[in-house]
Amino acid sequence: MDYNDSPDEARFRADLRRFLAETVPQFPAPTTVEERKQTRQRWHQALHAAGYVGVSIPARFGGHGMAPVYEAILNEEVGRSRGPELPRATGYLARALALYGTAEQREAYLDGFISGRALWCQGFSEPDAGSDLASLRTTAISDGDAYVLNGQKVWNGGADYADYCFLLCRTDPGAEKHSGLSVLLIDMKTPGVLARPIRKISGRPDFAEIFFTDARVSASSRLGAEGQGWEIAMSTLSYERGPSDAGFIAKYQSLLEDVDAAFRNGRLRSFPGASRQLARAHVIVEALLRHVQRSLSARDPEVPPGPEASIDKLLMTKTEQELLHIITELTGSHAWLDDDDLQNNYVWSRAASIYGGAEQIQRTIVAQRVLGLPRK
Amino acid sequence: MDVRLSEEQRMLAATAAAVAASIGVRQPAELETFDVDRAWSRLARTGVLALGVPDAEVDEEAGTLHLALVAEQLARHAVPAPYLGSAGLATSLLAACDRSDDLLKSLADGEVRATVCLTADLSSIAEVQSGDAIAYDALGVHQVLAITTDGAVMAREARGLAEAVQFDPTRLALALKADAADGRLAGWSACGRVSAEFMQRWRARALALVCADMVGAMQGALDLMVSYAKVRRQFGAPIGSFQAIQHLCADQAVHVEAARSYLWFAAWAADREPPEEALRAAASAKAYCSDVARRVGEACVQVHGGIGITWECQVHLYLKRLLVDAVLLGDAVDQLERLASQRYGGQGLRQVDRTERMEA
Repeated sequence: MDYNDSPDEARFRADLRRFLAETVPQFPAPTTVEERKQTRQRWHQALHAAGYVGVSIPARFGGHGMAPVYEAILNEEVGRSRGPELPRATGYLARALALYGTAEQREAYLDGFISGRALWCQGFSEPDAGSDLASLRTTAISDGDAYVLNGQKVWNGGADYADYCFLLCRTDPGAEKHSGLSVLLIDMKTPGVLARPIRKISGRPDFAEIFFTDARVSASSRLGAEGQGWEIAMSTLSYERGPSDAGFIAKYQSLLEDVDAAFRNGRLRSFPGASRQLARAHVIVEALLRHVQRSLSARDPEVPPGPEASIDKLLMTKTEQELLHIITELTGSHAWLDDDDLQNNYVWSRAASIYGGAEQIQRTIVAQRVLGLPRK
Repeated sequence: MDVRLSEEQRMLAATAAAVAASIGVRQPAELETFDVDRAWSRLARTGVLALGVPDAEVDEEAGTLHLALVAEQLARHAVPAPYLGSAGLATSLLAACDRSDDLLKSLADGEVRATVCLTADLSSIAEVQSGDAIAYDALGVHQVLAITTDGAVMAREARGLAEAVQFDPTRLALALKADAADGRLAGWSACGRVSAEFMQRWRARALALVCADMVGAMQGALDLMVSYAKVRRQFGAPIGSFQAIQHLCADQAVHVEAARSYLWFAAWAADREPPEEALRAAASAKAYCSDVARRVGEACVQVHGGIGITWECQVHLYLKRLLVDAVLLGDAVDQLERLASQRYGGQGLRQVDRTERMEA
């Protein structure tokens, strides 16, 4: 057991810090949708050029094949540098393409995806298919050598500027709900595909929704076999949890640094026990850090994480929400008057127990699949 | 970074789990017939009593982690034998002394048991010259240890000490009354001296080991509530099939795993980090574990319903062990105050508050 970097890890971290110190200042926070797209793309390409995309993805899937702990270092350092968010969904898309894609599909998409030349969004949830994802109703009906798409997707981050969509839809409306699904790789410029930003309660447009109205796509855009959609989505998506949590932790640590500084300068409220509350905030964030370090170390990059990953997600959610409670309490009325960033962080903390499987779903997974409690 | 137990460490934990299961307490009534000598010789045979003694032949830099792995398993099975007190706190304290002591050898061999005297509020190790003290985790101990203000480690016989009234039936507490002014050192003999730095490291180890006891007792409580939820039937179904019970249990699983992760770090840091950081890590882990320990213990009572508040049900063994562990060597408030004063000192007060304070 060792919590310190190995010599190789230390070297990787030092190089990365140097890269981030030079690069991050070139990426000011974007304000418009157009800027967001450009920032995301330029950032992805800068990371890719320096070798920081797909760090733990096996080489045969287009990555660098390093241990998951390097992904954690990457997330940690980017969070600490306060750079833009790391490209999401790198792992599962690359894996899905590599495992289920035809030679043509891999040729067409993998490199553009890894290098950041093409931006992707994910089309899973629907207005009536949230926690019960398999009940989704967006249809892709076969018509000659094409599919005709109709329906609506929601919570598709970046869909309003993405080039492609990894779409889970129903190709066989007559089949049992899990087995009638397929994955299609969709060009977002296809006529009949319309993406619209969704304004969050913070006022910022961080999500989008997608409408499909008789959109025709080639049958060759299907990934894997018809009816294999659920398997592809589940087996590849589960890889996404873990290292990215380390990025969240770095974000929480930056938040704590700011709060500490404000507290020391007397800019926060003072009441009996205030410093103890702040000390508690440090403790809960460290608990999450130590837990994620343990989970990551136990992780085998070739095996998808099991239901224990839901414990990590629940802990992350709990920590983020309690942290924001402590910070807003210490900030007092200013939190709701003029602290725009804090308001945004607070709103995100409420989303934490909803996205990626709601807290209640995670608890049921832990109860039934980790603790072995009986299903109804 | 590689936060995994080694093959040997996993084997140590498995061995400890097997012994703990065989000497552990399944029914509160078994506490009355518990044979501490027999349990102790079982432990001695596995070699786990000597883990607190530095030994060049084994991984010297993992002593605390090894002790923690064993303490965790013993607490998981509500073992009343004083592993934490004797093999953990007392042995480590003697091992830190500047001269080798016969007592240390007999502790490691399992011939003698000892524990450490704590201040009457249980928040820290007791000094010989200061007020009343409590020797905690003292079932069948022969010697009790305390320190002096100038760094001497002192021992005295436990014989003649009265049992102290306390809540946790799985561990014995002995009361030491402050003597009259002149005779305070009577009966105590010096075992050696410890440096301030060693003492800091011992405190870190001691806190980590109490965390280990909590993680074990939390795991025991979680095992208990899950197995009960599988067999207890109401409304024609096991209560564990109801979402309300499932979610309560799932939340406890999160607490236990997070506490275990923090414990591993605190135990590692106690051996490997500079004393100040070791103590910060241990105090942080103790603050966290103390908080979740109560939640897990209480959830265990809740899942059991009415039977959970009867003496015959073993739930209270875990609840009480957890509640006392939570205050041993300082509760969450104590730890957070310590961490806050280190991090912020007197900062954080607005100018106006400082002025008011000065005027007051």
